Amino acid sequence: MSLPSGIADELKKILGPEGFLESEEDLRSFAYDLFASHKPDAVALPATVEEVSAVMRLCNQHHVPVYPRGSGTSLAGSPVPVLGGLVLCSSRMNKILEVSVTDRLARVQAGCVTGNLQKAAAEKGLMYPPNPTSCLYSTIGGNVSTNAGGASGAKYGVTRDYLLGLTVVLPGGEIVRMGNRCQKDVTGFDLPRLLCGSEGLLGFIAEVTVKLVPLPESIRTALAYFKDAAEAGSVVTDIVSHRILPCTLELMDGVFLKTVAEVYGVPCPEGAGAALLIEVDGPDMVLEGQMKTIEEICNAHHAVGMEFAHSEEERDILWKARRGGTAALVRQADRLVTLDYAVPISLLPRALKIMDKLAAETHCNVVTIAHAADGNLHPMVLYSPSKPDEAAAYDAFCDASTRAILELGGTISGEHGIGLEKKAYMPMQLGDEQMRIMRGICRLFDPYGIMNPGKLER
Amino acid sequence: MNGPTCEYCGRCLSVCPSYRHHLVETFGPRARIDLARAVASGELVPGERYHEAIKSCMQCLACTEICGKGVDGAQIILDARLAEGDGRLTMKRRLEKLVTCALLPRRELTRKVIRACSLFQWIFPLDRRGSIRHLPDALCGAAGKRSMPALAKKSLFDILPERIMPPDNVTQIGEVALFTGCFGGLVNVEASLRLVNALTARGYTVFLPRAQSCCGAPAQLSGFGDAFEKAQAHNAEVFAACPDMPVLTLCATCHRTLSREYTLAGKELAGRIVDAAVFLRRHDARFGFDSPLPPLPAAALLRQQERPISATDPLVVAVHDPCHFRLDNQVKHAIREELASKPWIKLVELPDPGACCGGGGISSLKNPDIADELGEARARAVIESRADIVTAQCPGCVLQLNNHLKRLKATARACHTLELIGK
Repeated sequence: MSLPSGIADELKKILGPEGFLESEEDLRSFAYDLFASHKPDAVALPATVEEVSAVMRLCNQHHVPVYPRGSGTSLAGSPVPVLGGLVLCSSRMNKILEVSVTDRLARVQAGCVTGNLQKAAAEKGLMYPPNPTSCLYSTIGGNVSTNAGGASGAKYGVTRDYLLGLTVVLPGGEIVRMGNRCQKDVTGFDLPRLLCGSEGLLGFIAEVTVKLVPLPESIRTALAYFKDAAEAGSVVTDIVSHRILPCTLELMDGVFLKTVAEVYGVPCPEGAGAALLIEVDGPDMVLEGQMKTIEEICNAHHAVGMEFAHSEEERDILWKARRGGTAALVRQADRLVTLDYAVPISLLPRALKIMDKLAAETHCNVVTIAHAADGNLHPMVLYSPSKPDEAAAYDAFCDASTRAILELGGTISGEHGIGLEKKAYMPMQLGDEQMRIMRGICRLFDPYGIMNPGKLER
Repeated sequence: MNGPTCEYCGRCLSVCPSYRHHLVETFGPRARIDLARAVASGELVPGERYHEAIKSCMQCLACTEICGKGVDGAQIILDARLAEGDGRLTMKRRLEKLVTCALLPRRELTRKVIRACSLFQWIFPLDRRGSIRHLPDALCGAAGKRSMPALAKKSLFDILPERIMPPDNVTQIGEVALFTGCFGGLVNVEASLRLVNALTARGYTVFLPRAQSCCGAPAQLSGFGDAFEKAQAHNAEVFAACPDMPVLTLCATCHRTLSREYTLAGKELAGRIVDAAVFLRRHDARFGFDSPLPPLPAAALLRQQERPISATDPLVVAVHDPCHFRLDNQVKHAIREELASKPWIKLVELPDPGACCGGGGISSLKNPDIADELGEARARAVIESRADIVTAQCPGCVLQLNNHLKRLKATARACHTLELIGK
């Protein structure tokens, strides 16, 4: 399928030859993310907000589906153009417009890679804390659309917590500036935060203003091993109960550790069935005491080994297990799907036990890691889609684990978003009333339903 | 196509210079890998855009290095170019073929042609930056930058005999063969001479086969498989004359090609390839070698700011890591250890370590705009590091860095690593 020729010509006029792509090769290249793939009818690469506005107005008039896209690094199929139409990609709008030390904020275009924003802030002694694993290649626009989190979420929160303002282009082409540069603002509904996590259903995010915080003075890192994941999970609840808020608290299960040991030769103490990577940051004098308390807690839970980093190089070594582990796992399977549940922190040990039990019941190869301090767990399923029994086991595990998480009062997505992956389960968590309100909001922003159609059930 | 399948995670986008330049997914590694596989399996009929995408790869290996799944993006693109081969010979491709397949394998002819071009380049209009505009891109690109490289007065083979013995006062401890590459033989002869001196001073007899030719990388990177196989077979035969000797290289691209891409006739030769700096490092670690503080010809490299260099006021040296050593980490360490062992050198690191300078292989031929952008960024990094000298274990990088440092009117200069550690 392709766009009606009149529309294609119009788009070419708006965007110029470099900004409008419709060759087979280009359509293929803008079809996928990590989860799914479907070819669009055309691709638009606007360079300015005005171009975005003109494109949206035209598509709205002719009811052409519009699929906003950043770097296409979603794990849930959120940007995939399932109904064809136009992919509207922000990659050429990648400028850092301003980093203000006095106003403690940064203003960037949506296509700016989050890592570049972090670097620009750090150069001025400030920090943009949300830190998704993909931050070196995902865009801030995509991060806002999915309300991205990451390893530092428990202490620093997620993208939404840093959002001050957005420039959004509505389907009718209206350019709306929501929020402002104020650190406090209670005038009207909080529309920027409504758009955050809306996965491209309400409008195209063109520009983002985020709050920045001072860079912490220093950081301490420790790696502790325990007999199993549930034990490590209870260490997490204990640390949090002691009113310590680590900036990193990454939980890795036994299979994960074993794989790292095999692939990288990183030694792992005898009897270790899980590990916690713990980091606290802040003023140096406070960290000493916090680390001591953490060490005591780990010992009380019979830690089978503990290591501390005293330099940046040693810190890198401790992180090696966590960073290299996913890569090592990915190499062992045809396909690795990372699920993304979150539960109340107190229920994390139980959730981890349930994952183990369900994996055994469904004969599914599941390895679990967790951003433990905010109760966000990532069971990673390794399987071969071409083998029918493995594919069926994957489906069975996903279904059973989703239901179990909902029963625990958890959520089916902590930070990856719903996209296509969990579309069918969303009504189960939210119920009819919330779904009705959400559909109503969509209609209000987008009467013709051109924004990212095929995602939210409607 | 073999090898692990791509997960489409997009991590490679964070390191690809071509994607950073274009900001279009089609010119990033993820899409190139997908397109190459689709064409290879017959799923996609290649159009003009496919050829553009395959051409846009700088072969810097950054995507290969960063991929968690172990997908060798650079190799997949190289295979795709070889599959393209003679498929669509446009005027530019014909010229590319002439240079990479017919000219470069003939050393004397290459020398004469470059010399002729250097003489006549003055009659062509220059653009603002002093590089030639109207010479065919391909010819200039093959020479490594877009103006003719300054040829050495004599080629290495005119200066040295085929076998160079250690001085009388040094005990002979072994024999090595030297693969000079086009640059090491014709352009950066100084680096080759330094290497030979360093080797003989340590007791090695150096064998310099005169019949050796271009390693074939330019032909292979351009997708001309036949010419590459011919180069491989030729060099395999030449170096079969010294079957017990390690074969030393002084160019990252030659090293990558000889050690990783010689998989057919040259398989035996591939097993004997050692980077010269690694070889010297291994020797020094095992036997030790006292490098006396030289009468400081290093200062001559600085030209504009000649100053006496001593242990208290050392030469500040930054190391640029050539992309084609990305998968051979020991080179990086060997060079730094070898340089750090000199009391008159102070090592500094460049910002953005591992960044490509755009000078390797035939990058400047295939993607002159990206190569220019990268070269300038790298030159700026050198200036920021306040180094007197930036050094690279690759004559292509040296040429590119010097070109851009001059354009920026910087006082720092680039030189081959062996010009420093060979002393």
